[in-house]
Amino acid sequence: MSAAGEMASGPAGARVWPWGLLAARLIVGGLFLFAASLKIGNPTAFGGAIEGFKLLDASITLEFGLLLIWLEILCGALLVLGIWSRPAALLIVGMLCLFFVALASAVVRGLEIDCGCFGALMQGGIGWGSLARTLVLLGLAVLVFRRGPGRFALGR
Amino acid sequence: MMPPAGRIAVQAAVLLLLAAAAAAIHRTRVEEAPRIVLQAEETRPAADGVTTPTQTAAATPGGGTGGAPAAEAGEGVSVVGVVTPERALELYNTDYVQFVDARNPADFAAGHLPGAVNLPFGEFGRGKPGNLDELIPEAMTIVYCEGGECESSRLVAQQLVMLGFVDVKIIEVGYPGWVAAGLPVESGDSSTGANR
Repeated sequence: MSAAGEMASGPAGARVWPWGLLAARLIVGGLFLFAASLKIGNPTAFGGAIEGFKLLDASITLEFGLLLIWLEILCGALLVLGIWSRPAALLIVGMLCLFFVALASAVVRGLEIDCGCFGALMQGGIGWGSLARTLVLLGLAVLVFRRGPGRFALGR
Repeated sequence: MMPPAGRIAVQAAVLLLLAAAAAAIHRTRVEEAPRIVLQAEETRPAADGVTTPTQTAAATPGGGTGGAPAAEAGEGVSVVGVVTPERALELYNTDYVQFVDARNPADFAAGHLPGAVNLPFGEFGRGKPGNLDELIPEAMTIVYCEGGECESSRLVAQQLVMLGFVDVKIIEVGYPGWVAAGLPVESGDSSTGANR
């Protein structure tokens, strides 16, 4: 039985938790992989989007953007496969916390910028909706970090 | 059994190092984006009394009658002219000018500058956007967005300069400034691309 199953209270919980964790893992991992695929073709554009937040010096936004893209690919793939799920989820939690702070600061400062999160698929600017989406993903990632990978994991 | 916290931390550090290594390798294959320096066009009275545009920064000449084009002001630095809505309309009426709307498609459909092409910054994420085919790199290109704190026009201008557009300008006050000046607008989600 998985760690999640062991921690669940009662037989019903033991059946539901592993499937819930699988769903959380696939949603978060899949979204991170998808987001990275939309940005990797033109990392300079993503670097420009990061520059728009006015939180980092322009000379390092491209490097920082590339690091984020490759972390998204690596952690997203590992979550989907269920390998090293907890460390991958931990890094995703860190990234989502970073995204939340950056998005919140942009909303507070009234910046009219593209968040760059999902490339051409999200062009409506940033706002409360993007903050709520980040919080939902953060909750799912924390769940996987705390409880483990759930069903159909190739590793731990 | 839950893995010990120490092991999770070590595995996370390994992942971070792997991502950093991949990013470093990838970095060697990515072209550096030019640093964009916005330069407001000044007007100076000509001999015949008609005001003509000029720029205070060192910029290479050429590119029609609308002032100096986006020019290399140093290694990795490109100067992009900033024009007022009135000046942009003047250029549109006298020169081959293409407007680029960097806002999202919904805002573009609600109203845009005459003949503008919708090219949101997010479209550049995967490489060259499809709408780019409607633009001519050699022609004067004027980019605008929401104005104020909007960064999209500068970012789109940077991408266009990278793609070889020779004469890129920005309307810094953006679409709201254009509307406030009482200048003509179009609506709908299609565009003609330029004034000719």
